[in-house]
Amino acid sequence: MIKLSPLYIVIFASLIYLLWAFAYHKIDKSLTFSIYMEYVLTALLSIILLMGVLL
Amino acid sequence: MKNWQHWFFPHKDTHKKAHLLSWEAILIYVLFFILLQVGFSIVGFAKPGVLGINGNIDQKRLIELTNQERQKAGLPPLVENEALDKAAKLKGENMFAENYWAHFAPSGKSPWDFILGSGYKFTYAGENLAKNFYSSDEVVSAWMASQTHKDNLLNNKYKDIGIAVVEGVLNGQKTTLVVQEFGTTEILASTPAVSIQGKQIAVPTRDLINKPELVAGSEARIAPAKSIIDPFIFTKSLGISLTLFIGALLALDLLVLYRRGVLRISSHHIAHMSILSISAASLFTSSPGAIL
Repeated sequence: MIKLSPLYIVIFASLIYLLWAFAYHKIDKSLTFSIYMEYVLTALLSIILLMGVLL
Repeated sequence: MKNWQHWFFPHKDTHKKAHLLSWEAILIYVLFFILLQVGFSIVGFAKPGVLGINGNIDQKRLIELTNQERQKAGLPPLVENEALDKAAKLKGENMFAENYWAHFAPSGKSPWDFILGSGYKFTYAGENLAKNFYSSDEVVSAWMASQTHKDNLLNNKYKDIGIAVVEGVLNGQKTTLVVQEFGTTEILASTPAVSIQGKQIAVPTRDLINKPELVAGSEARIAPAKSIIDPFIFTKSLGISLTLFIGALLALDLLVLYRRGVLRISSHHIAHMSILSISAASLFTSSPGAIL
């Protein structure tokens, strides 16, 4: 049994973060490629940092 | 503004973010951590035992802590049994020899094979496993935090205990395994059974008869020296340092823009800081230890 619950929490938080960001910038008509990449990579970094110690 | 300052501060004319906060920089951070994990896997394969966790776990202390927990629950203490100690040691050595982390070996060996093979004729037994903890206290705390392991540890049927702390190489990394075997030889109403992760498994009759005695140290095992790098501590330290660094750059960016009275469309730093804080907090509280 490996404690993976922190990883699930971060994945869930990252999904909320991405959904909020895309919805916000879409409504605001400000969703550009660099903004899109910034959010996706920040979410990915948060998950990868934790995967490195838990898996 | 000097060139190096553009890496840390927003541009003085365009107010563009610091280079180290750009998506290209974040991509480099992501790739770096992926490469780090790949690198650890390669080192583990090429030089087994160089990476790993150097635990300081004491067998006698584990028995003491187990009995303390039982006494807190109003149960009698368990007595260390030589045959169960041998069974635990054999089980640990077998996990390294067959390179697995489970109650049942890939070759089909069961927990009761080791217990019966050590000469302990039980009527009821149980097994708890742990790996990669730094101290004896952490091991027992982790077992007590898991309902199925706690039920095993506080089972009033058990009279005897055997524990082994075995070091070896598992999946290329130096690993400290803890095997905890419980048992009783008293006559119970039911047929002999073993409790593993909350499940009562009846021992097949064919396994109870003509059990050949197992001999300690008969299986091949690599005994590694102390590992040079602890990949867990290394990754955790780097991860926390990076999130703090990015957090500091984001705070600096907000402060500089506020002073300049500039509003930037992509400056939702609070959102970035929040997700990175969740990750950093999870990293901070994480442990390499696992129980089974």
